[in-house]
Amino acid sequence: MADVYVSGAGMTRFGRREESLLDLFVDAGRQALEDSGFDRVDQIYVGSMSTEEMTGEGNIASVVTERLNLLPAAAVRIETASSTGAAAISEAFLSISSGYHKRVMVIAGEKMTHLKTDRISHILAEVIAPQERAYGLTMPALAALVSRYYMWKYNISRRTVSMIAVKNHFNASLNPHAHFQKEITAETVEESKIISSPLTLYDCAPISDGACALVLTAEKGKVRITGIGQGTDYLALENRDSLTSFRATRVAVENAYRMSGRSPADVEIAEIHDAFTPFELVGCEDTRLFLPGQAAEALLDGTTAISGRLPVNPSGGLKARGHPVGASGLAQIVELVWQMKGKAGKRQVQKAGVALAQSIGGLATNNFVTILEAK
Amino acid sequence: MKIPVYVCPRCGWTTVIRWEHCMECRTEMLKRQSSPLGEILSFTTLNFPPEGFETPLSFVLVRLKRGMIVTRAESDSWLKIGGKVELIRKGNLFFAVPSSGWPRFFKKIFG
Repeated sequence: MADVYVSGAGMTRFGRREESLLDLFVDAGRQALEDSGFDRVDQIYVGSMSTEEMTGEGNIASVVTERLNLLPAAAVRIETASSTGAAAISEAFLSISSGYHKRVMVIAGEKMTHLKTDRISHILAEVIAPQERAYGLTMPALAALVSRYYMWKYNISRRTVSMIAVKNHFNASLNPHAHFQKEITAETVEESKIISSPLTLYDCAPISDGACALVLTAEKGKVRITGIGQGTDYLALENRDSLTSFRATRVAVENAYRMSGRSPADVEIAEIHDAFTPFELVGCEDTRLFLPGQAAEALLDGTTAISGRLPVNPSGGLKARGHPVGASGLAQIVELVWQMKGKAGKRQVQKAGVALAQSIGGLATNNFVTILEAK
Repeated sequence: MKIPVYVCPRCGWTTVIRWEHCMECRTEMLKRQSSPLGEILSFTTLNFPPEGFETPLSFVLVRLKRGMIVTRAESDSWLKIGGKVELIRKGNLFFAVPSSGWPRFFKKIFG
């Protein structure tokens, strides 16, 4: 199996953007190409969850390839709901590690902010089980059911959950690519409107526009992808084996650790899918970075802060960097690459030799874990 | 009223969603009935519903004797984790109502 390196990374600012989705794709793609020093690739993997419904655009892989002047490179679109960006990396990784390609681009984006909230809720709810959708359940409602049970089982207070948002907004305040670049207080979280109890507005990742891209190569570089794992689970919450843990992550992380030869003790920095604040705790525990029920303590004692022993979501996470759904899984990797290359500016962590990203698709029905190492 | 559930005769995997074969061991599932009585595992009230639904929407995740089920509730003021509920059917949906010793006629009026 050939080694796979990251040779270039690019990302637009996430947030409410006036540019079209294609313009965002082109911006991110050109940045990644320039960073890599290459102007041609063998294949493009395009990640986008729902361009047809969000912007009315189809055949997006061909369109992006043409707009980036990368014809006649092969092009394919990848989609696994909110883990789409991570899925695109996984496919790109396989194409190089198999020896089929030498150089590929992974690019992912979404354009969402021009749509009304109830329309976005409807589109995002299409990824959940039809039987649960018939009841009017949405992604925030299902996340709220999981969150309330998690908080009850591990005796996690409202204030503790708020501190996840406080940490990630602080990190995002140092990130010029983030949707929200200002700090908040715990009171801000607790006094914001309730989306689906107990989750408030500031517990939920925002609706964002944005795109990001990587160039992966077989040629040696400073950052190598050493492990990738994927796992799936039942669509319906009713069929899950746990309400405090996601099997899809547990399977994905074991595959990634096995491939990389690494263990949780080796990980020095992590980007964890925090579309809803309690999910950061669940993700930290499912990836075995912390024992079940103990991620909150690590949050409160500063272990997961940028200056802590194991920084989690130094980018601001989905919560504050923003969540253009198809792009988030790739944006996590872009952040880790920048951290590993010492290019993270004010939010630069001290040690980023081994990094882990965990991405959730749907309500944890199609999850990915990626492990990177600085060479 | 009973709640239809699907049970694997081999490994015991149980679901309230109609399933032909067990997803864990591939055995043909058997249709069974579960009591409508259960215990609240979690609950939420959604204030921003999807298109086609009125706000607010309360949901309850209920552990039945066999399996788990997500239901609606008319309100969330009485809900607590561990609380006892009975499921009633309204149209195609199940609703959770309190079951802690309330007489059936009372639940019919206020459920």
